[in-house]
Amino acid sequence: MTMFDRFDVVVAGGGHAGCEAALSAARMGCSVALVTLNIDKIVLMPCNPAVGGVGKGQLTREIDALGGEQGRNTDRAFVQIKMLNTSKGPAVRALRAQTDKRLYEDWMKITLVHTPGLYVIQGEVCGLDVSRETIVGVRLADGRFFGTRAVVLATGTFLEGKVVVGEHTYAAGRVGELPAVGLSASLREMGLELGRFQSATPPRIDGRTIDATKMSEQPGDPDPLGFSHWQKPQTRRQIPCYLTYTTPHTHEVVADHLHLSPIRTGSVSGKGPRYCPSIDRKLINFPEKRRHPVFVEPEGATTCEMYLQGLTTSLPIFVQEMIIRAVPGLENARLIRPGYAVEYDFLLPHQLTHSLEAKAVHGLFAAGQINGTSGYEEAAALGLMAGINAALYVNNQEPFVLRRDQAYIGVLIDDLVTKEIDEPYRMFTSRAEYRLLLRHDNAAERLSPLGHTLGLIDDEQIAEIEQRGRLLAEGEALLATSTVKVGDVTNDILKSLGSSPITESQSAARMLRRPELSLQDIVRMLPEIPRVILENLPPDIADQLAVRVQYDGYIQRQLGDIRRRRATEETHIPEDFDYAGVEGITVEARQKLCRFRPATLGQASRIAGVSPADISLLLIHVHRRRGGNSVRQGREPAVR
Amino acid sequence: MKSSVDSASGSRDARVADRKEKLECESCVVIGAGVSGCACAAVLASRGVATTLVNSALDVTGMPGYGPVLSHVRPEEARAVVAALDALPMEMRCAWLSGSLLCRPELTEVAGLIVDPRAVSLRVKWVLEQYPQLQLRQALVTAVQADGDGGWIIRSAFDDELRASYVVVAVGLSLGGRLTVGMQTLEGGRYGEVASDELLEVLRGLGVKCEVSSLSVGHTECATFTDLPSGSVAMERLDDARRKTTKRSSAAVSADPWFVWLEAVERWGRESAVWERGVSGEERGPAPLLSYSLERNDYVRPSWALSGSTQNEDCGDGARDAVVLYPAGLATAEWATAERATGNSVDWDMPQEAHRSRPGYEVRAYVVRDVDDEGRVSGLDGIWAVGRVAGASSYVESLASGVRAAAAVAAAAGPTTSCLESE
Repeated sequence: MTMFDRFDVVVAGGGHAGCEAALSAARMGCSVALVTLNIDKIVLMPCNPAVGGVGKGQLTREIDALGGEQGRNTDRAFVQIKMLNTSKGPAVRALRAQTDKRLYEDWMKITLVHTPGLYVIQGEVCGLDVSRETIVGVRLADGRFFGTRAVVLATGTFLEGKVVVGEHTYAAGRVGELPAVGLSASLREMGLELGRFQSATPPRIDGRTIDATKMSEQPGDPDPLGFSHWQKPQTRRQIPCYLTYTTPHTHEVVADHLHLSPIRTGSVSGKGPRYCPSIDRKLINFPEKRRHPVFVEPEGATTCEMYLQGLTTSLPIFVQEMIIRAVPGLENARLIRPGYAVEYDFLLPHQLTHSLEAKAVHGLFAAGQINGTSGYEEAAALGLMAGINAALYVNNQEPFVLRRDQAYIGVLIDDLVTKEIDEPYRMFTSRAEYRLLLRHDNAAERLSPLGHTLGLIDDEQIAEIEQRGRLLAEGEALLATSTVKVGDVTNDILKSLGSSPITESQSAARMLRRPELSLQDIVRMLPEIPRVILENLPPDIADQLAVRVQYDGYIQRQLGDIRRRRATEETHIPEDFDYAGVEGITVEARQKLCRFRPATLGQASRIAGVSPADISLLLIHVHRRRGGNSVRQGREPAVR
Repeated sequence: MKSSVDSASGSRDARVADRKEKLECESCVVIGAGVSGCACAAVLASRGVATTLVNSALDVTGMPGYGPVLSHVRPEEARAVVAALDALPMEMRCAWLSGSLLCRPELTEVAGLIVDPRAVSLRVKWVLEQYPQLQLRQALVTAVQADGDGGWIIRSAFDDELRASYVVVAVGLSLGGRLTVGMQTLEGGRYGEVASDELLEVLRGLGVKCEVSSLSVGHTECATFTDLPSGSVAMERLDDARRKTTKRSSAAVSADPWFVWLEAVERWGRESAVWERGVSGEERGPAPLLSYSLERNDYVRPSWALSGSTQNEDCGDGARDAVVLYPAGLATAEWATAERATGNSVDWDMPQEAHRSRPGYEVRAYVVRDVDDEGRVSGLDGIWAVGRVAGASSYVESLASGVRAAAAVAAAAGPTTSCLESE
């Protein structure tokens, strides 16, 4: 066979990160080889058959706003969808979908296949060829060599992977699948530092052996919902999940066998995810909790297998069966796939820049679980950014970086390259200090113009977003200028809604600040012309409008915050800055700064061990070195 | 289906005790859920034998692992292919055929059934899940030992334990399998999959004769092409083929070696159409994969012939043969050769824009010797071997061997009353 080929970008790994990277790079005009160990397992979901949720749903939404694929793909393949936290504030509202795993894979494959310039190739990347600290090619284990300018490593859990249950283990990236060996050694040879993590998955049971009468049914939302901005959501017949809880008896069963857990026996050396813990870990960490939720989720429309969310474990199989039978509703549940843990190498992400490029090797990018994250959404977000930046690198253009106040993706990457990652990183809304600005409803407004500049969003799509923007602006203006007139009619309506009467006419915008009133309520009280216009707004625009106006005060406060910090945030620290020459900073701070080599003062301030006093000193030294005005003029954040 | 909550706990306890005594009531474990394992499990289950089907990764249940070409249906092979498919339970046959494309027989030498491996896997798994007597279990089997009572204990790499009276070994080429692709040698029977080396030692320890197969099986090469030359023959779905079967005089027809094939195709087409209507009407039936591809209008594609050269001793003067390519699936840009990779791989003059997506590879593995026609392993009561591990050299042979062994096991298990509560 021909042993040599040439591509602009080679993506190693066909999982959630790899597919986004390959698609975005190809759509930006590069020739891309997606090299995967198994073409039939592309974008397989080895764990939860779901996309989205709190924090994660925002990531998927942003991926879609930038022109990535996960949102669209989920919309084609979900068997249930719902909006979470509708009764809570808009910053934590997130979409979550249960997907049919097979359909999710098939649709992604169809998309990959129809993307010009993208070639899916079965093989194993086992070595990187580097010349003068720059990538020149990749070597495949079967002897093929691909010349390339950029490589995106998206190897997931396959680097020196090991699967574990109880004391038993064998080498695998997932059960039954050979791991990738050799690439880790190759990375270490290049001077890169690797860590080791573990991740586990719960058992799967036969859905026909559950007793649904003992569990509460969790249906999807009847309203049409979807992640993607670019297709109209359709209603669809949905499959329910079921909710049950562990009992003290269940906990006893686990406690009695805790000594057999790989965490205790030491069969697993890697650190596991704190926020997606196994049932054994939950009992150790939260001994006072009398019950933990267990969601029984369908794995697809064409299989009877169901996923037990909340019972992640790698305890011995006989213990797993006992635990399952000790959960109400699952007493007769038949085990099909035991839960297990997988241990794998990952690349310590502080070695990457904000564009996910390795600081030590030009053209080498890393995305997904190899960066120490957990979750398909985190992986896809990183894959998208790595693919974009690989394409920009190939075209000798400036990298694309998102700020913390622009997107959750920005928060994700900044956290990864700035913090000591000692357990698998999962996104939460609480990680985003500007979460009120980073909402599900304004993702397109924030990011689609950027996607358009990159070439991932076409003119028609951006025109749609601009149109939405105009409608929003009009709506806002209307609300600001229309008045709710004082009078009996108005006050009667207010009384019926549990709100206090008004003594003078007020603008609709001001009335909307009352938490007990919704936009629809206010609109009822307006004169005809503005009322008719506002009533005819599409529902999603109406929602966004309501949020903007209701939370305006808080939004303005956050924007002010961002403006005030802009100076520090964007003060650039030169790459070769000598921290040894900065007198007065603590030893720990100096060590950390040398290890992480932050790009800006803002990033430096987020490194654990660096105090505000250290930052002040740094600021002086950076200014001094620059000879004066080193503060870049900040831009106004474009969206609210 | 699951027995209802109102079966009195007393009678259930009695049944459980009964079951323990009868050692799972003549149950069977099939190790390996490939082509032969799934065929075997389906027949066993449809005859009421309590069966557990085990595979190291259930996501590839039922997936034909060596390429999409089920068969070149040369005239002399037509009968064997038809017989193998007819021997399957109807729902299994429909699972295979509804994930397939049919090549018309007019083009000599290259008629055949082209399957989409993933589509077949999806459907076969769904069909298997419908049998009440069949349980699926994900496990990498590493040991089989006698339990001292005439039955067998099967253990997995994770210490999962199953017990049965009968064991069918259907592990394909993973017994000591070594795969050569380009310059790489990997363990495993299929690319990227873990091998069953421990099981090989265990079987030998039991006295099973295992030898390296003299046959090396290969996976077909697949490639993607940016521009395909215009096709020569249309590939059709079975129900389309049914509609287009030409009417000829019965004398002419029965003299034609293709008659058996054509008649079977027509019959299968009718059957598949009914089956698909039936299942898609069901609450949880599989929406046929093709209906999701309809948007792309992507399931009828031409096959075409590339000129290439085969390097073997007969072509010393460098004669060139046509290499025929088939679509490797229903929703993929890959094309596959029908030739198996061997030591001298088929070397095409690939057009410039082609990329090898799946290199062909060669596997050498241990197969079980001293297996009778029905798959019984000689000297070991209750152990059968089917499929590639028993020497089958094609999907068709694997299907047939799985069916034969299942019939024999079912006969040995005796008449099945409802000794096991159906769940």
